[in-house]
Amino acid sequence: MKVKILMLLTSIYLAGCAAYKELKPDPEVSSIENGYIEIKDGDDNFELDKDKKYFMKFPAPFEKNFYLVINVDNKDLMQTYLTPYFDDGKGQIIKIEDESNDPLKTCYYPIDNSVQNFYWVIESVQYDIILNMEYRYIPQWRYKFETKYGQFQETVANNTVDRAPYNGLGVSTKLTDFDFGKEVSRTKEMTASLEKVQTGLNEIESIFPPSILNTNDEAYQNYRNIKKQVEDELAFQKHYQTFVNVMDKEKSSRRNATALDEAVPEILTLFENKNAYDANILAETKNALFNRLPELVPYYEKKLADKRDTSPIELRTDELEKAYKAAGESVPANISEINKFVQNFNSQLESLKKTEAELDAINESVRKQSEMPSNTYFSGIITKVGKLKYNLPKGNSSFGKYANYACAQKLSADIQSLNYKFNRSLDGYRSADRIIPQLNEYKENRQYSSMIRLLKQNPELEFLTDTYKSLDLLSIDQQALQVRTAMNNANWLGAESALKSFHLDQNFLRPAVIGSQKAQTVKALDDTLSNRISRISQQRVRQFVADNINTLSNVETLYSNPAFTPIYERTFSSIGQADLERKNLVLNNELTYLKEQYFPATAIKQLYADFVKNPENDGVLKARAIAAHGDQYKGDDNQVKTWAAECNPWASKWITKAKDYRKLYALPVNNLQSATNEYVFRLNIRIPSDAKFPTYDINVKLPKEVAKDAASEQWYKSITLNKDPIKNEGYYTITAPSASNDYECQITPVRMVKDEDNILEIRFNNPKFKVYEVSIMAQKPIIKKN
Amino acid sequence: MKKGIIIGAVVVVVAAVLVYLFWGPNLEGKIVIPYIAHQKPRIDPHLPSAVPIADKMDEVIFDGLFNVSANPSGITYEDGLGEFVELDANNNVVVRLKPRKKWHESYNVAVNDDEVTITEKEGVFFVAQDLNFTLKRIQRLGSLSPDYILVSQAVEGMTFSGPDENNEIRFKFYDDRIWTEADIKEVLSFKILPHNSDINQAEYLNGTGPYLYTHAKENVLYYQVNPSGMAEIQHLNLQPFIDNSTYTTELKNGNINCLLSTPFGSLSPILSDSQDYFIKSNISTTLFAVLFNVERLSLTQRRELRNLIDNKKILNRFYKVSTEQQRHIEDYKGNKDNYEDYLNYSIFPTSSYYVDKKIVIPARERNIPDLSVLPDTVRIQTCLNFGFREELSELVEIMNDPSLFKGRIKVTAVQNDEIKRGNYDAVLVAISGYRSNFLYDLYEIFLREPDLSVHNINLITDSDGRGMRMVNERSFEANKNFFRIDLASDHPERDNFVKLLDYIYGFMSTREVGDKQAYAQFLDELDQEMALGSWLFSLPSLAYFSTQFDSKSIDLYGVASQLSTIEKWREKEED
Repeated sequence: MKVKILMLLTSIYLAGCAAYKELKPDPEVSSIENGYIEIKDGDDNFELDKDKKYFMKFPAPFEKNFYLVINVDNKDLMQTYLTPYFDDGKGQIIKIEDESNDPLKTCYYPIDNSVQNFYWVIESVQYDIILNMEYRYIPQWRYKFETKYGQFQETVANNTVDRAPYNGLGVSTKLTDFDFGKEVSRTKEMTASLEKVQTGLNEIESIFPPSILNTNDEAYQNYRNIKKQVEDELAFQKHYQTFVNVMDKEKSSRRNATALDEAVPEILTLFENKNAYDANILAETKNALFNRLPELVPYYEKKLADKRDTSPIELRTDELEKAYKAAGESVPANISEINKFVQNFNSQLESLKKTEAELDAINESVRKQSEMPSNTYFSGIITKVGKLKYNLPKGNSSFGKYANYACAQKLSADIQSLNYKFNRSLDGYRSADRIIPQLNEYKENRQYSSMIRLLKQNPELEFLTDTYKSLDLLSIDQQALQVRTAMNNANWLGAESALKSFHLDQNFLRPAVIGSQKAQTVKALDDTLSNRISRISQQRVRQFVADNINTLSNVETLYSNPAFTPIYERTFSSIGQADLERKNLVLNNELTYLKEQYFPATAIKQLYADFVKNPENDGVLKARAIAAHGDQYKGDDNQVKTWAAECNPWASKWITKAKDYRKLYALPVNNLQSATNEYVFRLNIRIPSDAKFPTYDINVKLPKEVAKDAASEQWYKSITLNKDPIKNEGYYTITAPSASNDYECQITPVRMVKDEDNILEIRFNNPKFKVYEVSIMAQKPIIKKN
Repeated sequence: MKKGIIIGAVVVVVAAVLVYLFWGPNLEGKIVIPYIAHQKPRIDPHLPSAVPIADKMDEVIFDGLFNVSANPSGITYEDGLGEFVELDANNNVVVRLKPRKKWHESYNVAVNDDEVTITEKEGVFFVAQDLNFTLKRIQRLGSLSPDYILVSQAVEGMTFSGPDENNEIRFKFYDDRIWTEADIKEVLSFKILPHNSDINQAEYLNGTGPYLYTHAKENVLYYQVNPSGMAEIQHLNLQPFIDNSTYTTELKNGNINCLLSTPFGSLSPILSDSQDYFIKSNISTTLFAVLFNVERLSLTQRRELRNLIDNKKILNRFYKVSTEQQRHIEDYKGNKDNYEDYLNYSIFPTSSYYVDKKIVIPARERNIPDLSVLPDTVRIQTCLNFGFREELSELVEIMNDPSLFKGRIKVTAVQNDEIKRGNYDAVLVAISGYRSNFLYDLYEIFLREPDLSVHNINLITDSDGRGMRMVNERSFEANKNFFRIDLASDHPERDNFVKLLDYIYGFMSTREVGDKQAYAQFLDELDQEMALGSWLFSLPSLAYFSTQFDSKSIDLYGVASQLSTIEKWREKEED
């Protein structure tokens, strides 16, 4: 029980929370077509509160094309719409258009049976109001017809021709009684109005439910009657209009042959429908018209005489002759004759154009033949063209008395021109038929240049240019292939020679067209040749470098190896001498770079790394190799220069910082090992100093092997400063190295000339042939007594 | 009769030979060096002497904490009274003193005729107090002593701490450089005197060095090897002679075996036999100069006199260049007859560091002299009695040659007293014992009193109140320098004289190499302007040794004493 109460309360609460309140009419809404039904809430009307929202369900009709018509008071005080889908205002709202123009009361909503219900939603109410409302379900056709039927009837009545004067023509009325001009315009308007009615009726018929057909429904019967009435009147007005039009033009074209000529098609129409007219009307009409039509013969002859071109003759001679015949009248001979010429002229002209077009098509097909033709191709073409030529029109011989007219003469000339054209084509095709086998033989042997030459020797074969246009490209490819093949075979001279021939070759079918491509290909090959010579030259150098990077002897001679020269020195460039010189210069510069920078730098880096890792292992040879490489090095890598200098006993090692020991290598300078190998190392003392006369002690830490006997024998051979010998007997002090001072020798005072080289050179002899490490330190001197 | 005469002559010759062989000079076990008899060397290890042998004897008698020596590869430092222990990261130098080193007074010397007996008595050992006394003395001598510059540039406060229980003392060296062991030992190579000495003795003879003074007899000064020393040759004699003119003959005659400098510094034709003699050259230590008397010669006259005196002409005459009697020379670099290398053009001799390294670039060209401004005769005096008699006599003769200086110069050899009176326009002097290194001695030129019998330097300094010394103008007194510059007078060049004194003191007292070089420039420029003298030329330094000695045992070097290595000298072993 408690659960039920709780559910009830919850439902109430949830209902109270809904945004729209449903109005449930009593009695319920019915979709049966049954006139207007009042919406009631029992005995009362619904009461709508201000600012509240409501909706009401309307069931769908049983068929489509219905209207739901709602009449409601205070329509303007509410915002309402009808929608086929409604979920308490959630989601997208599809509003059905209200087709009513009444803002105050009525709503027309087109509905169908595609959904179960429609929802009439009251989105807002401006005031508390009593809902005074009725609804109706009604088929649309009926609603539309019922609402327009009166209007249709009135339109038909107002636009029906008074047939009495027309029917009485020749009896009670005469042609002169008619104002044809006015009648023409009035009839047009009436026909237009009736056609609108007919359109409206057709629209209604399109929404007829199947169930209404063949019923006695009053509205349906009314519909059928008025429709037939409209159709009858329109059929009459059509012929009547032709009549009044022709008669109006007959009147207006008097002394105006051009206007009369323009009336000929309608005259023909009138007589072609002569059965639609009563005999009296037809008789009056013939009488009026056939007195006038012969006036057209001189008019046409004048036109023909003035015509100078071979465009089709657009005179209405044929319609004129037909009009006579349709009217049952005999055709005058002059009309028949002129019509015959016109037809003959236009026929031959058409044949001429057609034949020429076909010849053009053949010629075009030949020109556009993409495949190079087979040996038999042109025999077929010749046959086709021959047949076509046979059907050429005859020209003047068939034009009779009009043969001398300018247009006839022109047509004959055109025919003759076409004949010449045929002959030219045939001549060309016959020539091609003879040459093609030779071309195909050249082609088989890839003698593209010969093919081009043969074609150029036969200018009548110009039509083959497009077909053989690929020859230019093939020739280019062929020549390019020769260059590439030579390059691939490292035949640089051959490649350059082929390239030169290619560059100079002007034997092309379409030099202007292919010129740029050829130039591009030559340029590309030229670049490729240069690049390949450059690349392979450089590869050769790099391989040489890789093979010799660890070479320790005769390093100097490595630099005169031919590997450092181009594999081929070009003598020709398609771009010109300046380009040739530039490319050769670039390559030589690159090789020079490899020789003077890459090789020495690479070797120095590698050798130096090996050297410092273990100076005992071929240290002297490695150092000499490094120095030799250093002599060749012309780069800017200071590290490389430094390493090379470190290994070059003749290169001065810079001392640029005071109070800082700097390691260097003392190396033998004699070529071969001997009992007294001579070692040299040089220092360049350039220590930044504010002093005017910077002066230093130079401390030299020596290996024990070098200095161990210094007490009994002078360890050094010579010490010089800027080539001046330094001797203990002078004012210099040279401290002897000994075990007690860790084999450190001091030379002082060494006066440095500011901003100039100050080369201190030390030479010593040693029985060993190896690399010695020496440490150097400079610092300001003390004043010594001794 | 004739036959008898011949036989008699032969007998006389044989007898003479036998006499020579048995009773002639025998220098075995001796080093005999000549000196000028009336210039007995007065030895002060901390002050330069006018007598060259006196400075050289410093190395013979005294030790430093470390002694400078040499080997074929250059200078070496050997333990003297100290032993190097360590140099720590803060530049503290630890030296262990050698407590067993005895002063020479620890020995009794008994002389009986030519026999000298040395016996031990109570040992007087070297102690730290001796070192302390020595440092105080050097500090007191200031710029007069080269040792002052040597020590003051390195040792903070010129003092030490200790000794500790290991007899180790500690010096704090300045932090402005990396001190190598050689540098430390050089700084601590000053000679040490016993603390019981007077601070101003006339000479010092009590040392710890390889030879000790035993006695003097007939002006021969006898030294004998220190019993606790390492010297190989037992005796060292300083042999007196009237002058240097006979030195080469004495060597030839075997009366001496070590000639530390030859007359004219030249090779001697009579000593050319390399079987008997070998030579050792080193850098010049003596120069000749004509110093102008500013009281007698105006600035203009001095300039013209300088222009007049052509040192090249004098030098060529001096060495008799291009004559049969040419005196040949050979320097330590092996250059021969390179006379012009010895021509001087500045206060600083051409051989010195300052000129050689172009710190000063003296003008070498002389203008044509304007003789009209000069006195009719420029009177130059010299004294031949205090060394270099041979050379000075030659110079007198050369300069008096009228063809050389148009008779405008008259050089007279006079007694020392005449020089002292200053009655000259200029004085011709020999300046010996100069160093060509940073320690070139300007006091010797400008502040030496003109009494050649003594060696007094008239340097008077005052305290500046901040612990520094400054030179007193009384250092320039007319009677106390050869130039007779006197700042007490109103001489028109007084300002320049003041400037000169400042520069001299600045040069001599600074311990900064840069300052020395700057002062050298100032002085040279000032001298070029003031024309204080004519700096004639230096004398080649050539030593002859008898092949009695093993030439390989004698290493000479630079400006240091030629006797520094005497401890290593040994006699050649007979084949």
